[in-house]
Amino acid sequence: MTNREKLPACRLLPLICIIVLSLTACRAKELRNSTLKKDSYTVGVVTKSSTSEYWMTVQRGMEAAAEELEMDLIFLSPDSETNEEAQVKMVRTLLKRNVDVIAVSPIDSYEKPEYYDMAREKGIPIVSYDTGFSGLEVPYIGIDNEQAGRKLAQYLAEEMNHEGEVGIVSGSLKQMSHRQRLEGFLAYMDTEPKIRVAFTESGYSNLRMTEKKVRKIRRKYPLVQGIMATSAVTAIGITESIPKDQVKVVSIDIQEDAMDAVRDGTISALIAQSGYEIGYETIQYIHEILTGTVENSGQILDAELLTKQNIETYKDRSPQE
Amino acid sequence: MKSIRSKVFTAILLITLFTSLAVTFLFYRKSARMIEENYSSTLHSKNVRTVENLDEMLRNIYHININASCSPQLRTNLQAYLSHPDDAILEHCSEQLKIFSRQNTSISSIYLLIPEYRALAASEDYPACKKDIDEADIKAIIQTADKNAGPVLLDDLAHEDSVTLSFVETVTDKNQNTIGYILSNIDTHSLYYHYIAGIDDGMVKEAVLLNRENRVIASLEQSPVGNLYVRAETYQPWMAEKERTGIDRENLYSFYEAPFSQCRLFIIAEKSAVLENLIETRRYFFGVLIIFLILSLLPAFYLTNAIYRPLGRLTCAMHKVTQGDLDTRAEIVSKDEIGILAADFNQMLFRIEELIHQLLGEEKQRKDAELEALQYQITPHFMYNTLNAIKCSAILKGEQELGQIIGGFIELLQACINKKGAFLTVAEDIHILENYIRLQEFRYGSHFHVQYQIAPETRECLIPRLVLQPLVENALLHGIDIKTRDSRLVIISEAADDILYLKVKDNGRGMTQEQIDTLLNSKTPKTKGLTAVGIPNVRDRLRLYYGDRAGITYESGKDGTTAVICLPLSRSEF
Repeated sequence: MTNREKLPACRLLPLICIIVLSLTACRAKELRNSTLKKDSYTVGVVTKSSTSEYWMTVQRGMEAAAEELEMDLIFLSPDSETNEEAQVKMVRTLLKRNVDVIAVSPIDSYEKPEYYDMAREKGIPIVSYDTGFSGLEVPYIGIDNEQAGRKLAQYLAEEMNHEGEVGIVSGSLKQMSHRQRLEGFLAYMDTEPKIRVAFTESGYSNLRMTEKKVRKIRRKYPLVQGIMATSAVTAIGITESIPKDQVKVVSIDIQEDAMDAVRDGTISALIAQSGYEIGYETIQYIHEILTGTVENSGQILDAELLTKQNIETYKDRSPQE
Repeated sequence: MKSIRSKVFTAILLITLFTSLAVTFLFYRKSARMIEENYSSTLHSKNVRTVENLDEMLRNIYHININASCSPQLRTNLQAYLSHPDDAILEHCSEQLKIFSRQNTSISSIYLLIPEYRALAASEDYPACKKDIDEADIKAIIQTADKNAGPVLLDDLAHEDSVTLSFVETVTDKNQNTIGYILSNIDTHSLYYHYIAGIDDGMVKEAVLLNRENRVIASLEQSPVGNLYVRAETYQPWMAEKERTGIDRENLYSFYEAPFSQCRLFIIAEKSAVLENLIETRRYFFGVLIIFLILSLLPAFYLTNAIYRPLGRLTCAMHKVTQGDLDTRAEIVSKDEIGILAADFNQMLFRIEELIHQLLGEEKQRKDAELEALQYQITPHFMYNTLNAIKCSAILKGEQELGQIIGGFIELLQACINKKGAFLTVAEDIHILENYIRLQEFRYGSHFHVQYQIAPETRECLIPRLVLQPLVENALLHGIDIKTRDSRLVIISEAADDILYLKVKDNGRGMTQEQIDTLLNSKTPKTKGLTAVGIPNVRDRLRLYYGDRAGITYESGKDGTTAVICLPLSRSEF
C-alpha cells in the first residue's frame, strides 16, 4: 500500500518541476543591464575656424570615419582663422581633458607651440591635417600644397600662352599650406621667363578680399591676366569683383560655390582639396596610431586639377553630392 | 481524494487554475516587460537629449569663454589695471564682460579675476567688481582650473553660498604670462530648472547631473550641490561606461555621459510607478479569474457527477455481489465504457449462476451413484454365498452335475458383476464362455457341438471382458435351432498383422440383412444383466476402448452366421 501511495507523488514531480521552472525562468531575467556605448578612444580635433564650408566638410569626413571606427570626437574651433591664441588654448583644454590623440590644423605652422612639449610629456600624440607644422615631428595628412601651387602655375601659364602678368592672393603665410602653395606657384613661374608675378597679397586665409581692395589692385596692376588665390573663399571674393573674361582666377579647395564657379567659368581651375577626404583620412590615420598599425608619418592625398572640362566627372567622397 | 469523482473534479480545477494563472501571469510579465522597455528607452532618449542640449550649451559657453580670454580690449584693460589699479578700469572691464555674457543666456555671470590684486570684475550690475577676495579661494580656483579641462564646480566668488558651474581660462600677456582669469559661470539653480526639473514625470525617483568626479551639479532629490554624490557607489553598476541603461527589481536606470563636458546625467525611475496602471490591470485580471473559476466549478460539478453516476452504481452492485448477493444486477445507464463494463458484469454473474447450478446437479448424481454402488456391494455377496451353499448341498447329496452347473453359474455371475479389471485374456474369456454354454445346455436340456479353435499365440491376448458371450448368446437366440441335434458353434481366435480376430460361427438358419442392421444399430438397453446386454453393448465398448481400430461385423448365409470382432492385438492393459 505504501508503494501505491508514493507513486502519484513521483508522477507529479515532473509537473511540479515544470511549474517551478517556468516561474523561476520568469524571475531569472529580472536584472537587465545594457551598455549602449563603451568607453572608447576620444580624439580632440581643433580646426582653424568653424565658419567656412571647407571646415564643415572636414568635420563631416571626420565624423563619418569616427562612426565607422567607433571613436569619439571633440571638435573645437576658433571663431576665425586668425585667432591663434584661442586655438592654442583649445589644444591645451584638450590636453587637460586627456584625450587620446589631438588633431590640429595649426594657424601658425612656424612657431613651435607651447602645447607641443606638454603633449609629449603627457604622451598624447599630435597629428596635423590640412596644414602641417614646419620643423616639428608631427605627422601631416593633407594634399601636397607645393605641388598644388605648381599645378596651378602651370595651368595658368599655358592658358596665358606663357606670357603676361600674374598675381597671388595668399592666405596667412604663417600657415604652411598657404606658404607652400605660394612657393610652389612661384617656383614654377621662375621657369616661365615671359611671365611676371606682379603682386603677392597675403593674410587672406579663408577670408574674402574686400571689393575695394580688389579694385585697388586692379587699378594698380591692370595688365594682370591671372590670379592664384590660395583658398576658394578668397577666390570667390575676387571673382565677384572682376568680370570673368578679363582675369583668370585659379584656386584650391572643394566647396559647392567654388565648384559652381568652375562650371560657369568664373574660376578657371581648382585644385580638388576635399575637406571630407582630409577629415576622413585623418581619423583613419589616428586610428592606425591608436591601434599601433601606423606605417608612415602622415599621408599625402591626391589632389586633382579641376577645370570646366573635367569637373563633371569629379566625384567627391563626401556623400553630400 | 478517494473517489474518482473528487479526483476528476480536482483535475479539472487544477488544469483550469494552472492554465488561467499561467496565461494571466505570462501576459502580465510580457506586458510589464514591454512597458518597462518602452519607458526605459523613452527615459534614456530623454536623458540623451537633455545631456546633448546641455553639452551643446556648455560647448558654446566654452567658446565664449575662450573668446573672452583672448579679447584684446580686455587684455589691454587688464594690463592697464595692473599698472594702475583703478576701479574705473574694472568697471570698464565689467562692461566688456557684459558683451560676452549676453552671447548666451545660460551664462549667469562672467568674472575677470585678477589674482595679483585679489580683485575681480563681473559682468553683473551688482557687484560690478569685488575686491579683497580670499587668497585661499583664488588659489583653489587656479588649482581646479589647471587640473580640469571641462566645466568645474566653484563657489561663487561674488555671491555667498552659491555654487556655479564655470569655465576658467587664463588671460595672458604677450610673453605668455598669466595675468588674469576669465570665469564664465552658469548658475546651478538655473541648470536644475532648465535641464533637471523637466525630467520629473512622476515616475522618476532621482535625476542627478554629475561632473566627471561624480560631484553633484544639480539633483532632483536636492542632493547638496558640489558634494560627491553619496549613492554613486550603490549605483556603480549602472553608472559605468559612457552610456548605459538597465532594469533591476525595483528601478529603471539610465546613464549618459556628455562627450565634451563629461557631465553625466543619471536617472532612476521607480518600476512600481511605471507599472502602476498595469498593476491595477493585474488586480482586475485576478478578480475576473477568480469569478470565472467559481463559475466554472458549477459545470465541473455536474460534469463529474454525470461521469460518476454509472460508475457509482456499478461499484454499488459489485459491492453487493461481493457481500454474497448474487441476484444483484448492475443497472446499465450509459452506453460508454462503463455501460459495457456493467453489461459484461451482468453477463459474468449470469454465467456464474449457471455454473453453480451445473455443479450442484453433478454433485447430486455423484452421490446417487455412490449409494447405488454400495447397495450393489451387498447383493452379490449374498447371492454367491447362497449359491455356494446350494452347490455344496447338491454335491453332498451326490448331485455332482448340478453342483458343477451351480459352480459354473457362480463363476459366470462373478465374471459379470465383478468390476475389477475391464480386460481379460482370451483364455479367461473362453473359460467364462464355456461356463455360459454349459448353463445354456443345462437350460435347454440339449447339447450343442462347440468347437474352440484358439490359436495358441492369442491365448494371452487381452480383450475387453465378456465380448464373446453376447455373440454366442445372439447365436443361440437367433442362429441355431437348439432342438436339432447337429447344432454347431465354432469359436475362433486368430491373429494376423497385429489384429486379433474373434469369430463366432454357427450353422443355424442365418440372418437377414435387416436383422443384422437392427442388431448392430440398436441402442444399448438400460437394463443390466447377463443377457440382453447385447451386441450394441459390445459395439459401444469396442468403440470406447479402441475407437476406429476395432469393430464388429456379421456375415450371414444359408450355412449360418459368422460374427467377427476385430481389435488391435495387445498383451498388456493400456
